[in-house]
Amino acid sequence: MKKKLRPLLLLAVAYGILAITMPVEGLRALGTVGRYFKEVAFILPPVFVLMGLLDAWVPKETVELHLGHTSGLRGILLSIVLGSAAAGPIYVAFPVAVTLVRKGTRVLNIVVFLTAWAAAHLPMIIVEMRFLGLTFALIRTGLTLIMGVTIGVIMERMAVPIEVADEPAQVN
Amino acid sequence: MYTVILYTLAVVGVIFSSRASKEKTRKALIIGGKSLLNMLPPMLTLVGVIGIIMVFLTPEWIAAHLGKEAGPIGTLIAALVGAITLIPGFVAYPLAGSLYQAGASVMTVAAFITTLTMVGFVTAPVESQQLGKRFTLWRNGLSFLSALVIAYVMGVLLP
Repeated sequence: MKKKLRPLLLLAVAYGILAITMPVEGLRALGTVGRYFKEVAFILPPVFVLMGLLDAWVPKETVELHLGHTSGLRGILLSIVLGSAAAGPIYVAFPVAVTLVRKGTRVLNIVVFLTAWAAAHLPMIIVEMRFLGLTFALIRTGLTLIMGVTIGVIMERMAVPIEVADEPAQVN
Repeated sequence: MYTVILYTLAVVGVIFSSRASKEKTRKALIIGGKSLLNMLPPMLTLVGVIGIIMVFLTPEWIAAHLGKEAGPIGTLIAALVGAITLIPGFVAYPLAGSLYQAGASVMTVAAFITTLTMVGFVTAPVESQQLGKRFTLWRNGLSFLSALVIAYVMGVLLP
């Protein structure tokens, strides 16, 4: 527990130094913290309720079949669809990924899911098209997804494990 | 809007779930609550780190410093800035557009946008707590290298 709180302590010290040396910037930093904290505090509770429900109701066999080790190309495509259809900040994707891992999703598909979540949202691609052009948006999204699959394949080859934080009490 | 949808889904989900099984719903909520508590400390770290980083790397600072084309070094700096900041898309894309108009190359803009989306320095504590340290290091490290590759390819394809 103490170790968990160490980064927070360090941050408190950093804010102390900031407040003394640069009060204006310190206040601005606190403002940013307040804004983000509000966002996080509102978003996370329903996300975790939904994760809990998913955990309780979706059978492991189903997820394993569609996203597990034998899911192949269809599993990759499904991960892209899931990642890009879901909306929201990337930190929401991590607990979703944890639930998917618990249900038997392979590392490759988790990486693809996270990459798609972060880089291939349809509404965001439309914004990107407006400011950077259609060609830019399509090529960037395409290349990012290809690299996401590549990274996933490399990580599986290197046997990089996923260490899920807390195994919940056995349900069912 | 997004939050409203989330809450609606959660409430409807709980109602349907408890109609089907009170016991399972109770367990689901306990699991959700426990996981939420576990995620809280790294989440607070994330919020605190963003506060400090955003004091120095404001969108204005980025526009002023990455707008001038500075060759490969400029591209690398753009990639690093993208990796350590967390800017929502509706701010990031206009910003990237203005960088391009100010004279930054396609390679630099692509590097910035790609690391911004693929690499998360401030979200790493949360990712690490949820999915493990090794997974987080590998994924973000490889994503950073990929972003450089993507930026290079885009610079060649879209002069």
